[in-house]
Amino acid sequence: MEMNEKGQMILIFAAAVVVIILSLSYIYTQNIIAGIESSRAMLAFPKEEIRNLCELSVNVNDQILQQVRILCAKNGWVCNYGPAYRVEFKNAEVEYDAHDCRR
Amino acid sequence: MPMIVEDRKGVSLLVEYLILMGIISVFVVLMSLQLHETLAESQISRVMVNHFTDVVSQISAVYTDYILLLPSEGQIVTKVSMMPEVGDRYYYLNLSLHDGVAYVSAFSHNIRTYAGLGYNKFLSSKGTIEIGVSGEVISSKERSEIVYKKEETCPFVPKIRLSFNPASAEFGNTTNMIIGFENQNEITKPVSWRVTLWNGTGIPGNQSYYVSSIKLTDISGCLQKENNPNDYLCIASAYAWISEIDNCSSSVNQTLLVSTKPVESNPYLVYEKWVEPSNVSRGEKFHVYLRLEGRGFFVEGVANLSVVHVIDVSGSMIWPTIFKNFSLNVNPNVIREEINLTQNGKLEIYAYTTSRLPSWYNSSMCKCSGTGCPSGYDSSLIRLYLNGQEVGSAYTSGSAVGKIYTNNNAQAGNYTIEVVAAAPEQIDITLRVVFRNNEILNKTVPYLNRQEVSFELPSGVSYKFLAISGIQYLPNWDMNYRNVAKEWSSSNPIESYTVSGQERYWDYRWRQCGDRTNTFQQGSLNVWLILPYGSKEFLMKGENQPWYQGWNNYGTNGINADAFIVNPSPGEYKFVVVPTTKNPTTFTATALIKRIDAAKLAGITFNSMLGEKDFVGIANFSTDGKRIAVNSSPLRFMTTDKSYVNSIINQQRAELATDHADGLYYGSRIFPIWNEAGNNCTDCIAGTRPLIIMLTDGEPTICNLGANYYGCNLCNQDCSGGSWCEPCKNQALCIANYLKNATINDFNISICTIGFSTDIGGRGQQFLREMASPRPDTGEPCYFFATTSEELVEAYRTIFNAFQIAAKRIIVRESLNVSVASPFEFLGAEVKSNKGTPVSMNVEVESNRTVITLNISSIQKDEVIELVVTLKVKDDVPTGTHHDVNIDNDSFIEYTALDNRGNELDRVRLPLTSDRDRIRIEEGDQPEIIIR
Amino acid sequence: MDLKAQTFTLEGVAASLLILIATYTIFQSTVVMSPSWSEFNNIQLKQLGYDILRVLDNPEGGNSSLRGFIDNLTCSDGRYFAPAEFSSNLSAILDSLHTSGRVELIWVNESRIETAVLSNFSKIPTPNTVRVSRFVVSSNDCLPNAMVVEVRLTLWR
Repeated sequence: MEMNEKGQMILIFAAAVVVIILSLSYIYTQNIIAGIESSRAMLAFPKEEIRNLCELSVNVNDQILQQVRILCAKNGWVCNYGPAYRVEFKNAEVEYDAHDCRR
Repeated sequence: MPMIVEDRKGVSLLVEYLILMGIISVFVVLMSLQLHETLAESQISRVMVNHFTDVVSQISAVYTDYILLLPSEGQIVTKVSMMPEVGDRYYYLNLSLHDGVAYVSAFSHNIRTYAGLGYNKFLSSKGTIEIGVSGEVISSKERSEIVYKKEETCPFVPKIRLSFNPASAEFGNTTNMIIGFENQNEITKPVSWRVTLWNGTGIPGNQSYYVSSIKLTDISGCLQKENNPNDYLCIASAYAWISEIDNCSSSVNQTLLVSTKPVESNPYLVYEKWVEPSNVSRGEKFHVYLRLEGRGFFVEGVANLSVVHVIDVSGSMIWPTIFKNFSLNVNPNVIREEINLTQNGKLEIYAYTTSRLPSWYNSSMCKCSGTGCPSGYDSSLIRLYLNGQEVGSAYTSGSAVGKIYTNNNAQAGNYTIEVVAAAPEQIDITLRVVFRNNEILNKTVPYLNRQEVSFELPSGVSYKFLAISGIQYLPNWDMNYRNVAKEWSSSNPIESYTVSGQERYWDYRWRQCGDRTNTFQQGSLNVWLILPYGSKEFLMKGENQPWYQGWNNYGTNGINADAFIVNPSPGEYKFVVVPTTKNPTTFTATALIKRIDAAKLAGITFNSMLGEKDFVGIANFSTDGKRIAVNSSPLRFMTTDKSYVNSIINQQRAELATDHADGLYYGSRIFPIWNEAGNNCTDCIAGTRPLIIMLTDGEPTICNLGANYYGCNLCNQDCSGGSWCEPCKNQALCIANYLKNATINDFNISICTIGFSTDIGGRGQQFLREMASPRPDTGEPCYFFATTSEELVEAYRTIFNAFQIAAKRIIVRESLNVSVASPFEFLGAEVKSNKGTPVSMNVEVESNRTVITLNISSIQKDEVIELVVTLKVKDDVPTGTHHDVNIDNDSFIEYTALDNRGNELDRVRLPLTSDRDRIRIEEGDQPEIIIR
Repeated sequence: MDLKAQTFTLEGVAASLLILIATYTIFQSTVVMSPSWSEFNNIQLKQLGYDILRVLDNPEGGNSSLRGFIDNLTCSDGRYFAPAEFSSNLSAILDSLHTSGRVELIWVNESRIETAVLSNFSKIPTPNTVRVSRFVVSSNDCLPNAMVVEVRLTLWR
């Protein structure tokens, strides 16, 4: 009887392909990079803008306040500050409202 | 059809085939059902871990930003973005605290990710901050947030202060009640207060400073003193709070002494002890106050003084002494401009003014005529600097005067132009730069370059002269004399008199201008002296020497002065100092007057401190002592009319040698107690306390041979009058001892000595110290040394204050509940008297308490001594508890009380108790960070 | 009997099952896809930008400070020039960080918002940039009616 290995070869290679595909799919899931949200949070939190407003709130002048409000609105923020370290700041992520913004 | 295949062994292959297929298919089905789970699970778990880490890091980043901002009062809301589900599974996000460390975690089933956020406690200047961390959300929530919240119940505590002026008043009179706040700069919200008087009257208000007059007709509720039923101690209390919060309060008490008979009233020591603020949180600082105040009636009705001024009028009192020293750092006002030349070319710089200052620069101000002295305004008064070097030549064009600089081939580059002008009044300066015939800068600015130093010559004394010497950097006249003998003017007399055939005079003269052409050289300072009625003198040197010379004929102490004013009027004198260059310099000057004028000033100042019922007498001494009659029999030498005595003081003049023994003897004979005809009336000065103040500027040089004063007969040797005379010293000390033991109105005669000059050597000062009696407040000898007029006035003031005490030898023991086991920590203690009395403080830390001991020699009737102890609440104290700061049974004040005549009474011990030294430890406002 | 056919069938069945399982796995397992976001190096740049602005906003800085630079701003023909001191300082900072920058000033002129670009710092940025801004209280005739100016710094590498 002649031995024909063609089928067995097909099987072996099919098995190999399957294993490769399975492991690739396993590795592919590693592609999700942790750190997207945390770095996005760091970029989005307006810490410096709030500090800037806290420093400006020492001297309140109505005209300056109005111009600051307009400039903030252009950047997509809602800003307000009042006498004696009162600051309000709002953007898509954060709402900050302090009666005394000092540490 | 063949039969079903059969094996030789008889097993049916088909059936075997079916069996195998069946088994395999069962396994396959089971496996495939399981496989989904298994394969998906491993990938999902990996994804979940990654996503959880991501969300947790996001929370950590926002938490960190919150800590960096940490507003004292406010709220921050940040959206948390997270996937609603991972692998079809929901998960939870949780913020919690374990062992003082805050954690954020995300978890779902068996997968959990943690991130530590650090300790939740921080130390800040306001105390310990402990952040409350909590909250949990499910991922499918539509909007999750992380929120920071801090509310402050008390933004500040208003520290109210209540005082009465006068603090000791007679029944039926009025006193002013003054309300103020110690921390006015912290008060950002309206504050209300209420004062409750001793009789229950309530006075409400909300002003930050309030004065009201209270008539003392109702003293119900006051504490009557047992040993003196005329005296009442009335306590008023003030309470303040923040109006809109109706909380955050503080209170303080104040004691008023009211007497129905101030003449017989004793002085008292009152104290007040309280804690501020009384509600504190852990780690926060607070203050414990102990305030000691003297109470008593001065001068009116209590031991008045009978003062005898014994003034040395020896020849050396004619000499000058320093009235005041002046020193000022002079920083010129420099106009500075930068220009940048991008190529080479002709550069012209003009700096000029069109203003004139005729009242400051004119020919009469110049003193002499000649070249260089500016009149009106002159280009020499403007200086132009280019890159730090002075450049330019005089420039005049129409009404403009100033400086011009021309450089026909200026190189490209940056140039700094500076302009300085000697302008004592405001002028306009124009700076103009023309480059390559194009004007690139043209600026006119208002300009002033002046500084002032002023001083006051007090009224009451007819000063003979006021001389100013020691000024540097003044401009100078270089004189050109045809006849050198004409350098100085002739001598001008200031005063002249004869005493015992010997002439005494002060003369002065000033520089003469040269009769040929003189040259004026600029100095780096232009100084004008402005006299009280507005006239001004432009000060300058002549031949590099001071312009004026003054001298007297008693020795070599003459004066070389830059300004010399004869018979100066009292009032404000001012130096106007104007720098002429751009470099900073120093202005120094010394003002001089006659020694005897300084003594007159000090004596008159002392008399102004005395009250209506005090008596004053005056004796002077040089070779002999002499009493001066100021009144009529039977009290010839003392009077309550201070102005008459002041006019006598004003007439004193310097004479001959110095005999202290004679001065002391005749000074003591002013008192009408020696059975002398015409001066015999002890009752006239009844109830007063005798005091002799001897002012001398030198050492004893002569003695009254053979004189027998009060049994003292030690003047047995002749002294020449030119040097130290030992018999005179012995005689004076013998007389002093006799006097110190003599009594008038049951008071021993007090002798205070003041040495005034720079000439008194060690043994002269020792002599004066031995002559003096002990001071009533400190027990030290009543001896003072002064070199300038200011110090002399201060010495008289100290003598006056020494006789106004309320209590002596005060010991304060304050025992505080501060130790290793107590809830408080000691940070510091400070004690201060409003009269500058030195107070010694000792802090001893013991195992179960801390003891602060104060030692004060005396407290005056209107003196306030305040001890402020700063303590801190420890971090681990349980909240909601009360603690007393003071250990009542171990704290006391001990002092020697005085009666209304200043005599010592018994030693008194008052326990130091207070019901307002209680601290409440509260939660404190802590911030919260939560997830919701 | 010929077993070849049966074995062959078995092998075929097994092979097809394997491939079926593999395909099934690939298409059924939930693989979470998130949009890739490669802006992490920009976080550092953004923080640097904030730091640069904060350091420059120093009241003692004279012409170099943000306030001094706006006070002494000069303009002509629609071009805006900062004082030399400020420009050289900022250029030095940017060079040391190997970044390029663009400085714009934004202010309110009555009811309009106007923008001005600083001459030395006017390069067009690449698409991948970071923008930071700071409010400075100052005014200058070159910026009419401005009482507060937003200084916007755009950085890229």
